[in-house]
Amino acid sequence: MAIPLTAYLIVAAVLFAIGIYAVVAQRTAVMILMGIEVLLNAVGLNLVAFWRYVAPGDYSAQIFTILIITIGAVEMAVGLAIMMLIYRNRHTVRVDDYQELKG
Amino acid sequence: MTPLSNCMDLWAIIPELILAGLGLILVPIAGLTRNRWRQTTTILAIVGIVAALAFTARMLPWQSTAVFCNTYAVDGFGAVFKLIIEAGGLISLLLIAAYFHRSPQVGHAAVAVVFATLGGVGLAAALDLVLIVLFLQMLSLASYVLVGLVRTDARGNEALIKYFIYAAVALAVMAYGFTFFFGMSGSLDLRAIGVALQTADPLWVTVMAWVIFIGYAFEMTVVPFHFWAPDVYEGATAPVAGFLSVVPKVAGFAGFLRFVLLALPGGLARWPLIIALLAVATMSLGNFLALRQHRLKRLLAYSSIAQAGYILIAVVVAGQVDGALSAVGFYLAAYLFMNLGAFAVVAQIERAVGSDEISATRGLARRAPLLAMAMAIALLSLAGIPPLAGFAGKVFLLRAALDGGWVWLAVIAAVNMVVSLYYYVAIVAEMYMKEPASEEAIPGNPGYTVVLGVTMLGSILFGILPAPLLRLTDMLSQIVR
Repeated sequence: MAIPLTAYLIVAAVLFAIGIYAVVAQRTAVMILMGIEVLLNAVGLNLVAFWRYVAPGDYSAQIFTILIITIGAVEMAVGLAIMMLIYRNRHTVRVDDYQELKG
Repeated sequence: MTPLSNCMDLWAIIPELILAGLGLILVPIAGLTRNRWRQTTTILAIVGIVAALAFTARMLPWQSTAVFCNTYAVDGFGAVFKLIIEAGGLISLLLIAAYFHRSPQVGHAAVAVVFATLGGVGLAAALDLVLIVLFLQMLSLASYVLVGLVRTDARGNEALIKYFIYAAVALAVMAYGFTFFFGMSGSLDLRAIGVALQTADPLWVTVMAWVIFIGYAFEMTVVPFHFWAPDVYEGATAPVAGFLSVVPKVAGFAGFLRFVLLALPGGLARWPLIIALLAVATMSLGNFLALRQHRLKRLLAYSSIAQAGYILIAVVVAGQVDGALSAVGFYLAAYLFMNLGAFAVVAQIERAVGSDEISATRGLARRAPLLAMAMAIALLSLAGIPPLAGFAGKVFLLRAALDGGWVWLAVIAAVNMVVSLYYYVAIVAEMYMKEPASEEAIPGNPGYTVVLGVTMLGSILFGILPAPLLRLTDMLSQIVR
């Protein structure tokens, strides 16, 4: 085991930070969706790393990872459908243009 | 490792099986039916949820046990919360069906409500991190569909995209926290995690507990993760806003209580103090912002945020005081009736007048006496006026906090309850003291009447006779350990 667990966790943490940055700072809905996807990938990487180093005999963490990937796919499908719908009504996916609801 | 065959405890999930089967059957039915036949979906969904309610009620006296290889709980705690969630799903389904009567959305709404109820029910019983994420996602996904029911409405679209982005991020952040709890304990079982975390590095436990709280706080609309609620409630239709203010919130409280009681036992990571501070922020900010709203849905959104703050004061002492869980359950059940009652009235006004400005309720007592009465009862109950259910519920919450020795928390909550009187009574005054702009009656239909009747009955009955409901919610203390 040349690579320590910490290395995986740091990569995952960087991915997580990138995902949060994309969600907070990106202005188009599609990029925000990408950010959410990166967040979920950080979760998946963490899970696989922890499984390998902490509980290699217990395969339920792998099932968790597959579930996270599935959630990512489902969220992509739903998110893109929502964006298509909104684009058809408004002809823009820039989130700054959605400012009607506030107060 | 136990062989898989020993884990197929299908007898323990009959209500869930009914809801899941129902949802799957309704998908093609909702897509294929046209015109008058659209009612079929609603009727089948109502029958199915009632059947699930009946089976859940039969499970109440069962011995507490964990099934499906220790991943799913069968206990009083789960059964009572399941009952509340299914009742909330049923009443909101009736309300949504009345609102979208004869329009194409009615079938899709029924399917979404069934799946959301299933997600909430599962969340109340899940003992495993994987199942928690799965059921939370099921609940959110169905809620997206409900928010986006009216596809051509620009405000609805905006609410939908906001809700989607916030919910997806909250879930991802929460799952990230879960991975660390798995890493520190080597298990996905909440109870095993609770044991392992006692000896783990307290700093990491605290930080990751906060990260996980974000996901639950989003569902419970706890400040600072409440900001989506007013926008989404305003953009969604009134009955859907009513649904969002009840089913995900009750499910969030159920999931959160099970999580902190099992995975963070004995106030690990100082969660009672964190939750106490969040409770103060939630009720104060909710009430303060509600004071300045002039739209009913936004006002009720901030009011439901404040109500979440009140409930949190009993969550704080859930691990130390015997009656605290019961107080939470009682208040959530009462909240279900009063809040859905208020949203039922707003739904009818929104359909008839086309606006949810508070001025639209002016002189409502003259135009529609039944509606005005239902709204007044719901609002006064939310404000905590005796002898309504909200009053009894608030007494139990405050008593739980005082029993746990959190005097300052109870005092702040009591002050907040007094402040909230102002905006609730202002609407009642608008309805009863002012002259209406037009004398035109507000059209109703039988669906609304049933919802108004049930919610009024609940708000009054549980206020005068709290004992039966309290006996039910006392079963919340039977939790799988």
